[in-house]
Amino acid sequence: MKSPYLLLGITFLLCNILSAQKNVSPTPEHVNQANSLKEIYEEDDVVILQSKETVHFGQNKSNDLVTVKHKAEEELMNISERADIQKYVFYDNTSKITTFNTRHRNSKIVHFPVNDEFYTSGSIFYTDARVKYMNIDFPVKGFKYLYHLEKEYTDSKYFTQISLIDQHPILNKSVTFIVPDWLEVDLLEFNFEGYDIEKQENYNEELKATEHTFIVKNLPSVSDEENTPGPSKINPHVLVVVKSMKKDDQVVTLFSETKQLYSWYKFLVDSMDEDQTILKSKVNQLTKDAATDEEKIKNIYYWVQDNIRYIAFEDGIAGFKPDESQNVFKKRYGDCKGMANLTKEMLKIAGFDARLTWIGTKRKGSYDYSIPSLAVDNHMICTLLHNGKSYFLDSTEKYNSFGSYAERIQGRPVLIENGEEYILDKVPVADVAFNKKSTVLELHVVGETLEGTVKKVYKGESKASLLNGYNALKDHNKEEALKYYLTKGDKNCSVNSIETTDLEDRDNTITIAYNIELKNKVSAYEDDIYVDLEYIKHFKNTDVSERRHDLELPYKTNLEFTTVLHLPEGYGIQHMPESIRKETDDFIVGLSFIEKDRTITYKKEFIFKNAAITKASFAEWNAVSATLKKLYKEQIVLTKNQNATTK
Amino acid sequence: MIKKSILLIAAFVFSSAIIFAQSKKELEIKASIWGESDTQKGNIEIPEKWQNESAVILYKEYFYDYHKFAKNVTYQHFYRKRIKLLDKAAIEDYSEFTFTKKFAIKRGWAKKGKNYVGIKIIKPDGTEKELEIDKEAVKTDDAYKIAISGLEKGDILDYYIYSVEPFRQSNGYTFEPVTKIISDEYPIKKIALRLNTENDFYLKFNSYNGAPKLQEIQTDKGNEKQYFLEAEDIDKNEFPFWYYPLQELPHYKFQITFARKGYHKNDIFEFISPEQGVVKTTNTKEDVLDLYKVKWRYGVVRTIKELENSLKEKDLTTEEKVREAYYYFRHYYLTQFVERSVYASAKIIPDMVYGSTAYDDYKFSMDNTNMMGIFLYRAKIPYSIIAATPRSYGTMDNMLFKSDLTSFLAVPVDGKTLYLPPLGLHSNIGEINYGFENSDAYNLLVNIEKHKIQDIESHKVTPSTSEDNGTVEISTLSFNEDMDALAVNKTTKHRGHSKTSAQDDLLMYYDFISEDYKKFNNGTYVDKQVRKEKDKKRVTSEATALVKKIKENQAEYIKKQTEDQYSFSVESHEFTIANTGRYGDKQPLILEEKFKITEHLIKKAGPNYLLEIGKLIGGQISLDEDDKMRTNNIYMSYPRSFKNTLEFNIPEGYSVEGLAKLNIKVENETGGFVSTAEVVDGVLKINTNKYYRNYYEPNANWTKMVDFLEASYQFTQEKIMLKKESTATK
Repeated sequence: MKSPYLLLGITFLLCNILSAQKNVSPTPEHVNQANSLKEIYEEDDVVILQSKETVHFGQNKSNDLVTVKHKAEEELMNISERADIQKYVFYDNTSKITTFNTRHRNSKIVHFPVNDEFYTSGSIFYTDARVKYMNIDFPVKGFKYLYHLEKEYTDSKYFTQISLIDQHPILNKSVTFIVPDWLEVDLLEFNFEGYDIEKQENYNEELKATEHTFIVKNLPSVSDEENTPGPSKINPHVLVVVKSMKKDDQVVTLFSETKQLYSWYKFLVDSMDEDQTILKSKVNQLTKDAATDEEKIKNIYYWVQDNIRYIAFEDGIAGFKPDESQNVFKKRYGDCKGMANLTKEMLKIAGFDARLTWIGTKRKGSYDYSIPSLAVDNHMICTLLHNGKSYFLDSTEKYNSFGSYAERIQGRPVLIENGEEYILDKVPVADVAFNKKSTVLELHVVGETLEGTVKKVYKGESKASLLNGYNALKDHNKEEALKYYLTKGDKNCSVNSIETTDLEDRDNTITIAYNIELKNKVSAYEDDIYVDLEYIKHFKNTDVSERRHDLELPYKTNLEFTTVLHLPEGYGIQHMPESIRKETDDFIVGLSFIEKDRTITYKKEFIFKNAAITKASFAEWNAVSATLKKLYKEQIVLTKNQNATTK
Repeated sequence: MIKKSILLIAAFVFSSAIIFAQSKKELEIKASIWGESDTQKGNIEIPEKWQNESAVILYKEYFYDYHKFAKNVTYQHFYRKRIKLLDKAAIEDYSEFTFTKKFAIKRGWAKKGKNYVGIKIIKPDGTEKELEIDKEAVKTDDAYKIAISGLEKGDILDYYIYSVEPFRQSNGYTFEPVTKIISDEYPIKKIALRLNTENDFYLKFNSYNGAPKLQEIQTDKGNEKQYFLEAEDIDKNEFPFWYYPLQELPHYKFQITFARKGYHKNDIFEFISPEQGVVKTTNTKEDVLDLYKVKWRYGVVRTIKELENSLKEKDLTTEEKVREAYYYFRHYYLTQFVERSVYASAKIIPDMVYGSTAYDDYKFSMDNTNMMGIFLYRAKIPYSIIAATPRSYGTMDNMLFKSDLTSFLAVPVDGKTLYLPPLGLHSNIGEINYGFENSDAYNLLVNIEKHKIQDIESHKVTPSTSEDNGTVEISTLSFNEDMDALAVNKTTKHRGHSKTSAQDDLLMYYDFISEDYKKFNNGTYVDKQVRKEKDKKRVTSEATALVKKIKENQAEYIKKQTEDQYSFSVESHEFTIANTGRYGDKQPLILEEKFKITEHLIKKAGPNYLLEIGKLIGGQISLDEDDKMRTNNIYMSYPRSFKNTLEFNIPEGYSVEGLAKLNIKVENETGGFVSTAEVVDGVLKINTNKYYRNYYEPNANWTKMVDFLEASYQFTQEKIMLKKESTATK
């Protein structure tokens, strides 16, 4: 067959381009190594064979800041048939990337195009953070690349940590912090347990510096599991706290203790140009008819929740400094800092003592304010000091009832502004009973259908989550969406006569009552009726059998689901599944079947006391999960034989 | 001292004026939209009937302006919306905007185009606040983003984006066609379209399905033309499934063609108004003939001797010759480039070769669909050109643009018509895109001696049947010993349009290129294009690695497809593509699968088991109460059928109960669902057939469709009971 390439006259051009480079393709040894690594790292495509990172500190005498130079060199190998990966690095106006490249194993530079873009994230409207990245392809198994990165920070306070784990498994890695004698640095170790990480210390006479080296071996790749605790709690890393430096024999204090962290935060807050004037009439409008202080507080707090949209700008210092309350008020949007500040200012106008409050959410679970680092917090709320009590107001939490706290801030340490000093406190932890969501179904067998009534009661976070979801819908879709939510979109389930309490009321219990009809849950064969009382199968797919890390739930789930089946006339029970109950430090799971007064009461209880299934409970959950799967397949068998119940 | 501070203040005012001052053009645009003559100033109320909507559009306007000065064309257009936001969801939807200030103009010789954006908020009491775009917007890499400040429930957002696109065009140029449905996702109080042109711009315009007609405004200047269209009180639309909006909803279409001199019109393959200032509203049969007669490109005659010689050696019928030629072109112009394209995108070989990318080869071949015309002409096999409009666009009466028409060849042989679709990787004679089937079309008759179009006649494109587009699945099912898992062997045969989509979905390049190489005795990319031994070795090893990697993904994908079809997970999935179905419209694509079902379908009931066997025919459409109340007509892609055979080996010691519910028969003029179940020699054999007879059903027939759709859904809910025989005898 003739080729159109000949017609186009281009064939000869291919010869030049295709000439292979020397010492680039993998040797048989490389392929063997890739094969044996694949046996260990089945799920991974690329392994870091060697990684060497160094951190150098420098002194900027003109502004009394410590600069940081972070270098990383990696040798990467493809252990699967072919791999396409992305190498990326973030930077912003406090840092710059001076080297970012990839070389062949023969050291020749590979010209992968480097993209440089604004970093975009769903939750952040605008950030000055940028990302450089390159797409790297490993054409065959055993193929290697050398990767080189150098990044510089103008101010050590923005260089908070070094991660020891990577998106790829690491065979050998060393991270050396070269700490000059003039510098005082704390290197705090997190989540080292269970990993092969060794620390060495060596004094370098020539540099007049101490070299702290962390040597890491055989580290798996970072987990891609969902709903894990935050990286601060699971990933091995070193938190770097640059405390002070000596300059011309004088000690310059940096972030030596929490006091300095607070001072810097306070410096930012003090530089705000607050103007309460335009807030006053709104505050007056919200409080003038309020009979009690609590009512006044709620009116203000809920107004901010409902009327200020969360839109985050992280542009330079704006990532740390709250926007002025008058701006947030006028714009009707702001980030957590702006919303906290507006809440504070409005409460102050109303005569209350309200303070800005820094907090690290649950994701920052490993840290507290004993560490003077910007890594400690990621959020801001407002603390109200009222009648000797502290109330923590997080206006970014929609439908949060005054005095109750979202799971993500519960138990978390807070740094509350207090003039030159600061107050340390903790957000109270709510009991799991607070979030109870209960459902009661009363069902009758009508032909081959189950018919009856349902009543659902929501409290605490189960309520907030329902209200938030419901009120985010378009008004004209709400009715339909509520139906869909109640039927779970299951065609076999139909609901009608829905009655609810006020679905905007965040202070009281929410109740939803309706009639239900369930089809295809009853099968009749000769004298027997098979009834499937399961139509939701709670937690059936909650599988931790292959997890490495705790499974976190959005909040301390407390679910009670009771189905009362009225036995049809002339039928008795031939078979009923066996009840189960399991209680651990993390959860209580109970499913019981009780016969009483010609009814079967099938009660399910799922209580997660810590809003998580922790690793310690995995084995127990696996056993529960297997039992649940089995139980959910079981049917209740009713039979016409009147003596059946005695069987 | 005083003087100095005055100076300083003056300088400050001056510099800030520079920073935030709006350009003259910006101010002009703003004045033209929001200025004194803005008719929408007091438009802030919404009708009572729309109070519970999420938002109501008070006013929506599209404006198009086409003017020229010699070769310099200025195209300006804007879109304005004034919308009252009534709930949080609407505020969320309208709270952020992204826009560009400059953009590349892709028409004629041009510099950058410019966008001008205006946004203002009108409070319920009528007070207005205009956003300072330049101050409030932030710049990202290539666009600006603005978060709308001060927005609250009950506010009106009024915004516009005005684009100016100047370009040079010495000859003729046709603008992209515009089709707009009058209604929107929110109800509309008033909508307007304004269109300004002058001499040398030729307008085609029409309104359909009851949309208001375009009206002309008389102007003083003879060469200026101004038109408008208005509509009021428009309820929001919803697009249900199985629906062609352009068939039902009021809409308008228009297109402008610029021709500096009358004869420049001839350069453009498009329907154009014959006279300046006259709005062309329809295209007649004669228009179509005139257009194609003059402007149809027959393609360049290339050497096709190799094909012709090979055909000479064989003793073939006309139909066989046409088929051979079609497959030859499909390979010659398309599939033999696939390897190169894949390798280039995987960076195994460089992408750019002599200014042409691998992708260009594809494009090149797609443009050469009429290579077949050249072949037929040389072989003196009569053919014609079918110009059809897709059913989703409406009928031929709605055909206004050239792009509403798609052409393909038709060859009459032995009393039937062979349709030759444009070349695709898996295209086949007789398998034209379903959109054109059963549609009204024109047949452009070609004089095969002169190779010229000479006449036109109306043509109805042959429809396909539910059998033609059939999916046939045969599954055998066996329990394991513990009765907690099912082993499934399944063969799926896709035919017709079901095959076409399965081919696109399932086949990877290595599944089909070798069969083409073999058929045409052609070498692979490495054989033909890589010369040095060491390069051959490298490309081969990298290509092999690539295939292995893609195969892993393909396996995962096909497993996922199967799981999605059932709506439950399967384990130990394996598959084989037994036939690609690429040679002939009668050949099915055959997929063979083996897998296990462990977590689903089996339910324990004391000593007995319930098996949800109905679910093994795959998920069926689940209609809710709203769906059942459908008021729209039903537009479907094509008639189709789904046949299932389930052969279940009944475990020893058990008997089956509940077969009655598996014997269903609902059939009517729209389609049907029929199932039978019987036990033969210890095997439960179930046959089902679900079929849709037509492309279209009037709403009056919807209840009939619901009948068989509900029957097929109910089938998936049916269970059989496996009764332990010892208890059965009790």
